[in-house]
Amino acid sequence: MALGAVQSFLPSWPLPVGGVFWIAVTLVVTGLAGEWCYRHLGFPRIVAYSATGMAIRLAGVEPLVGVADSGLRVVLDLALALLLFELGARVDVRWLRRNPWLLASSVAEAGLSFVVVYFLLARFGVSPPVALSVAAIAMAASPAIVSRVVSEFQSVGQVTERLLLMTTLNSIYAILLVKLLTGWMHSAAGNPLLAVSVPLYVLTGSLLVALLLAGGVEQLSRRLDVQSEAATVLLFGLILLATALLQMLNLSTLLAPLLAGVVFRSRRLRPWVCPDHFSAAGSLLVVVLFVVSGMMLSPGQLLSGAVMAVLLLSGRFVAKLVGVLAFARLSGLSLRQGVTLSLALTPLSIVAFVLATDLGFSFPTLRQELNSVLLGAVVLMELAGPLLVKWALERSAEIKS
Amino acid sequence: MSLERFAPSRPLTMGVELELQVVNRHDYDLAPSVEDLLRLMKGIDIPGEVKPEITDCMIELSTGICNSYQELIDQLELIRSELLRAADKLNLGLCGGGTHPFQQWTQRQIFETPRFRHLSDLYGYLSKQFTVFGQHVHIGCPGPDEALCMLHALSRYIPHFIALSASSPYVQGVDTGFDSARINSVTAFPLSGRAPFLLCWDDFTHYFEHMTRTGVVESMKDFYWDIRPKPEYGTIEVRVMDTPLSLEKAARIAAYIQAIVRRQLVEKPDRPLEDDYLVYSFNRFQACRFGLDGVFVDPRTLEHRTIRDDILLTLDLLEPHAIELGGDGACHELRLDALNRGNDAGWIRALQRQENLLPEVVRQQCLRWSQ
Repeated sequence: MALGAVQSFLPSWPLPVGGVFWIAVTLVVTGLAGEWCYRHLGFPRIVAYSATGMAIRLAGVEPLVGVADSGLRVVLDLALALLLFELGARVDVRWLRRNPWLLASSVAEAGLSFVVVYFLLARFGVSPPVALSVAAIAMAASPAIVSRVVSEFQSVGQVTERLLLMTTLNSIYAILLVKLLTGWMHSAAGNPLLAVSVPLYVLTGSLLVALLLAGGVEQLSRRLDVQSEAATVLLFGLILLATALLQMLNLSTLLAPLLAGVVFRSRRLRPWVCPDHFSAAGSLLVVVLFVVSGMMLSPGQLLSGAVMAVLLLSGRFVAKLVGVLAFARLSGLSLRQGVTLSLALTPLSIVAFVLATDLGFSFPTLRQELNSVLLGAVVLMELAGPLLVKWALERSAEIKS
Repeated sequence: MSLERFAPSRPLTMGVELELQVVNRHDYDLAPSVEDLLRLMKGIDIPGEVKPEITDCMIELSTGICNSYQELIDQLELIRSELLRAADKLNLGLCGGGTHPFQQWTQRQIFETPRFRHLSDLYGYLSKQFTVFGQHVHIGCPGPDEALCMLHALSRYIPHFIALSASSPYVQGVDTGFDSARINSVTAFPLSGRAPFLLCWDDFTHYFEHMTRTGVVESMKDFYWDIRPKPEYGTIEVRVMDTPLSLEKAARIAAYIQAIVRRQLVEKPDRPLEDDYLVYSFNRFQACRFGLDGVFVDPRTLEHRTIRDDILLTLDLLEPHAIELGGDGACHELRLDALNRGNDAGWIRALQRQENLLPEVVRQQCLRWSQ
């Protein structure tokens, strides 16, 4: 009887290790790895976050990897929405009116990236729909990496400002073009109605949600001190609500928050001063974003796609370099700054991954080829991108070393 | 190094130097972008010039030699429009104000030139704390002895210049209670304050050479006096003003100084006395702390009145001279400031009370500067 009582309060063996345990371990490991990377190597912490994610995937920690990709995707969308709204609200598109050469430069670097990547891939025998899709995706720099490195190292200056603006713009171009391509590929697949209705629905729908979100945040910012707890909670709530709405309606969880930020900022004159990622909770979510994105990628993709990755990234870098340098002087940038700006525009990561995943979801037949062409570059840049951005901003003396 | 010869200059000509704040248009903190701004200004034809200052978010503009208030306004407007064009291209804001209201001095970087590097090594953190923005006015003098005499005669009016131009109530995000907190940053330097009471250029040269022999100074630039002679221009330079929020006010204060100098030259009301300096520090402090409401002790009559009243009395005396110089419009505007509009420090405080957001205050300072 005594034995029975003991058995009833002692846990069963082996210990029932649950999901929460592994999440906690992940957070502790991630935090330690990030800090170690930062202190001993001077790396941006996000390198360690992504690497931790990839290590979990490699180690195959079952309860974590077992979460379906769609489950991870929800977390990723939420955190990314937060970061994209923040980026959109940080840049001022009115600058383009004061300095139209910036727009020329932005269109040139993104346009050339598209053209160069498409022809490179076509030359290496990639099928036209995939080559076009990857070319469109490759227009975008990495909003997540860029805004994280800028805020982590408090980068300030002309290259930083332009990096943020051009990243916002080329992400918008990329998302728009991918949606249009989706329509076009539907029509090529014998669905002419979808060719028009898909882009139309996604773009107008996302724009509407963006306007709603921008309006909501505007109302909030008029009535509450942005730094107050109430404002943080509401802001967070609004962005998450918008993301949930976008997911329910099958709209773009990338375009809407980014546009909402841009619209919000361009409608107001009064400066909007917020803590990074709006609050400590936002920062945690961003950490999770990088871990989760790491978990969704596998380093194996880098090995199999290394050649393609290097090819794609170098072609794209040259395109961005030419586009930026062509208008550097006219837009008020020195050539040296032009080079560092182009380097900092080279990463591509979570946004590219999300766009590719969504395309693969709409066109399952393309998924395999799309992943093999693009994901090598994404994995490489998840790890090397933050270092590249930091190095470029240090070279332009905008991060204090 | 010996003191250079006092160059000839046309009496009563003037030149203005203004240190401006370069801010970003995102949160309106100081922006370390002067190098970009100067690159864009290179080769652009303006009267005077634009130069870097000790930290990389300060830019100094200076006019050429001007005869009148109107000429000063014309030159300043030309320089401003070119500077604004460049700043617009870079998405930067420019504004006046003696201090940036919420910048953190630890964030500042020294602008890399040998002289600024030397100053930074010498003065340490003081040089980064010296991210303050002043207006300097040069006035041409008939000769070296007259210049020294004028320098000491002007000392009586230092509180006027401080109170009228004061625009630095906030430092590092807090209201200091001072109208011009900027001056307190200058006071920290060992060679600040007033020039020695020497009325003859030979004596002054002797003093300077003695000081260089001590190894304490190398050139006139090492003296941070409120007013100092500038031999290579043939001028004396009044250096106590905060950069006002508007270009017009900067020009008006220069015109006011010009009128005072003309009155001194023409009427020779009183020969400067060493004893005038007995009340100097008190008056100067009152002007920094309380602006136009500060107490002014008349060094000759020992009467007490407000700085405001002393300015109004002075403006009455200056009227014929201001008319003669074409600066009567400027003096009229300053009278209105003294009577009811108050100085820029008051404007900044009132705006912050209404907006409760210092970045918004800086944004509106940028608007004031560009209008």
